[in-house]
Amino acid sequence: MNLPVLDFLPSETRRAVHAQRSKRRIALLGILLLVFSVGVSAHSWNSQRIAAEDCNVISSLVSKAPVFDVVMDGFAREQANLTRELRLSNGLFPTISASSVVATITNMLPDHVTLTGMRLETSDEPKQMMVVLTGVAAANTDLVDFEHKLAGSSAFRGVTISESKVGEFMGKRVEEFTVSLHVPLCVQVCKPGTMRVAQGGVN
Amino acid sequence: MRHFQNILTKQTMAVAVDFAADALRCIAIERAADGTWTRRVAFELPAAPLDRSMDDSALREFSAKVSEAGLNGCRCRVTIASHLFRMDMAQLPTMNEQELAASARFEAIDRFGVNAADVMIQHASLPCKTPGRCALLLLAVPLFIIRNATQAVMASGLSPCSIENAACAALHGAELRHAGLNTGMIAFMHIEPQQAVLLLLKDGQLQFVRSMQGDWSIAGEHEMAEDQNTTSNSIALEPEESDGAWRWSSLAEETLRCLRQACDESTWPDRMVVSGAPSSERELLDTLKGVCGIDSASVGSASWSNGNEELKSDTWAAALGAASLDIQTNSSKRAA
Repeated sequence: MNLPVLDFLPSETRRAVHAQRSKRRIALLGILLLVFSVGVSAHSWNSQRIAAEDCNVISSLVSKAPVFDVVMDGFAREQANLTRELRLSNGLFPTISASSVVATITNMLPDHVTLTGMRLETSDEPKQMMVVLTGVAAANTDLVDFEHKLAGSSAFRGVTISESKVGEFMGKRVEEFTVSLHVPLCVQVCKPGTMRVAQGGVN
Repeated sequence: MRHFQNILTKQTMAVAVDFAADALRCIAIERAADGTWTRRVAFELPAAPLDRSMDDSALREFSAKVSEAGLNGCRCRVTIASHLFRMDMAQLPTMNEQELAASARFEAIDRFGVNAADVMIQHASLPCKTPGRCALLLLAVPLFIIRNATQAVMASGLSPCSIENAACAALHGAELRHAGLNTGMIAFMHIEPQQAVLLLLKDGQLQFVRSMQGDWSIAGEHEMAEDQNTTSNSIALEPEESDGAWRWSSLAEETLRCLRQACDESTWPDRMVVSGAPSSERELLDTLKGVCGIDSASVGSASWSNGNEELKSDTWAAALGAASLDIQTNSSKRAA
């Protein structure tokens, strides 16, 4: 352009204009910063409120328990159960306990039969519990009756009177016997003193 | 938030405010990829006299218009009607730029008889045929005019980045948009209601400037303004009381006298380009051609830009010319 721009804007006015624009820019940036800060603060406050609510739930759970040890004991029990279940799944532990077997056999004892000894052994192959019972019976019929009850139970297999002889017990003539049987590990405890074979048979 | 939207974002449109004698005009234009100018905004308000502060109602209206147009915070170029300027040409001995600026200032104060603290003075170097001397165009404008204009613009929400003489701004626009203005000897005349400014250009280089005061409004209804800015280079003329070509005879005759002073037969202008409201009048162009013997044509600033509404004649030439500076700057930046 051949004719230069003859600018009549005084330098102080130019500075004033720049100052005004700077003020506006600073004001805008301030507003933006304020809005941003408010947004971040609101977000932080909301997050803190949610965290506090979660904390209160845990606190109330702990406070409702009698003592903290009880809760810990509960956790320990649960862990033991889970560990046992895990071992069961690995076949390292029988599904039934010896006490259930003893309770069931005791429940089947006729009136004139008394057990004097018992041996329980768990074997992995096949998975079963070997039970050897020793005892005395008032008469041979009582022994046979006991043997029938055991054999009639679905929880017991291979009921055999391995030994039977006449003996004396507390000054009376009795039949001393040894009965062996085995219990598959898939049986279930239905109610105290009774057991039945689980559906699906022996694993 | 709308008040700030133009502050942080890069301004792509060029905004100009023209404090013309007949109206206050504001225009915002954008340059399209194909080089055409598109008007985003163009509004006109009643004239705002700059010899006093803009009154509150006018300022409110101006602010509302600016805000409505979404120009808040925009940088803008301001043009002031030529009759508010003192304009003269001077010859000084050749000297360096610093000395020239000081001498030009001193010369302007001396010629215009003004107080140095009350005026804003600018100068432009012109070609000089006399060896060992340099020619200068001297312009001065009272500071209160500048102050009133900047206060009005700033109060409206715009940020002024330059203030220019309307005739010079119109010439800038014509240089960009009017074909053939940069070759040969061209007479450019910017006509305002109270003053006409004649600028002679040789191959685009400004050679001669002369202002001619008179009642040059289209309808001829305005009372001739009280001559407060008479200078040695401004001649008050009595226009003919006629709606026909005779009405422009005094302007044409004065133009002829100016041309005779500045040109000889070999350097007589090839053609004359006229801007300003009366440039669309056939009688004016015919009279100029008849008296000066130069083909005269309107600068046609109305067609420089596209928009929803057509612009009225060449009244927007100064505003468009001022805005064109930013358009050119933006284009150069984009090209770089």
